[in-house]
Amino acid sequence: MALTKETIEDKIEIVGEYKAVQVRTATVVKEDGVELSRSFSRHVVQPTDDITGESAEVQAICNAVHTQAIKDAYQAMLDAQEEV
Amino acid sequence: MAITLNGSTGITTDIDGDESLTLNRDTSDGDIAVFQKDGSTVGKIGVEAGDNFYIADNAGNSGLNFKGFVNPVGSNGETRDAAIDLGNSGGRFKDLYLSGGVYVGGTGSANYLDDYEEGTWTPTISDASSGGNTATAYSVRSGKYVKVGNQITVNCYVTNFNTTGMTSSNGIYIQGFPFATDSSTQMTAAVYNTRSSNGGYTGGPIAYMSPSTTFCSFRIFINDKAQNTYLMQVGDNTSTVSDFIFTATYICAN
Repeated sequence: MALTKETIEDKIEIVGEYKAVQVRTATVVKEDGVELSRSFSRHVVQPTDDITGESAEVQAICNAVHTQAIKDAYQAMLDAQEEV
Repeated sequence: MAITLNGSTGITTDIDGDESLTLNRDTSDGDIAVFQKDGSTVGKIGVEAGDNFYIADNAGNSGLNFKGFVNPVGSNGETRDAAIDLGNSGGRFKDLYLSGGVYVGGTGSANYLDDYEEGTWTPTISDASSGGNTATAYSVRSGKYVKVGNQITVNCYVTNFNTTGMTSSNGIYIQGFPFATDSSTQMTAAVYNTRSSNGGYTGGPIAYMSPSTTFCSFRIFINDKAQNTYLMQVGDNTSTVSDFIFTATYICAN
């Protein structure tokens, strides 16, 4: 009987006007290769976020979708929200 | 030709490499095989509307046909819309595994439930809405969420956060929400916030998420006639003893 636990980013979504990158991380526990449980944890990478701690795949996606125009637009939106 | 058998054994075929039994109905729709008990029909297999294969009972007026999707039908293979239950109160199926969603109460896109998920997220106390200086320690730092369609319910539970290194005069934020808010909706929620000065105003803070974001700030109504709000600052909270606890619901971006 071999129990294993692995953590994988099993879903990466790009949503909304500012291309928020939503990352779902699954923790999968298996016994002899048969999945016993799967739990999720999530975080979101916004255009102005630091991505150095992200996986290579998430970084590549962020670099592709978070163009300077998107970053500028998102920052402008945040600046406007601060005035609410 | 008709074959009639009497006795304890029916028809048994034992053929290797070809169909064991072929039943052919020419031209018209209808039953291809009829099943009886004590001479009374209890079920049928047949064809409807040209090539829709069906299996149906006789008395209950229920069955299924197969036309690229599985369809509820009556005893003659005809579609029966909104008339047949799947399971019943004393005979339930166990789990249902779907790669898609379900339509509840209607067949429009507004009736489509396509996602359910539970999980965790990590609240981060910060002095900016993005990046900034963050709390260095917590006694409890826990976030949970439930996603039902595009509705998100989050629970945030952080206690005794240490604000050392954070800018006291900056607003205080929680970053790290698990889903971005929709572009045209906000989130507000009452907050359990202990051992804070609330900027000198009475009343507790309200968590506020603006559209398209994954952080919240904390606002306090300042009791003027215009109902303006005060943005809670880092320095309003007492380092290592203040808490933020709340549950909030919002609509996420698609």
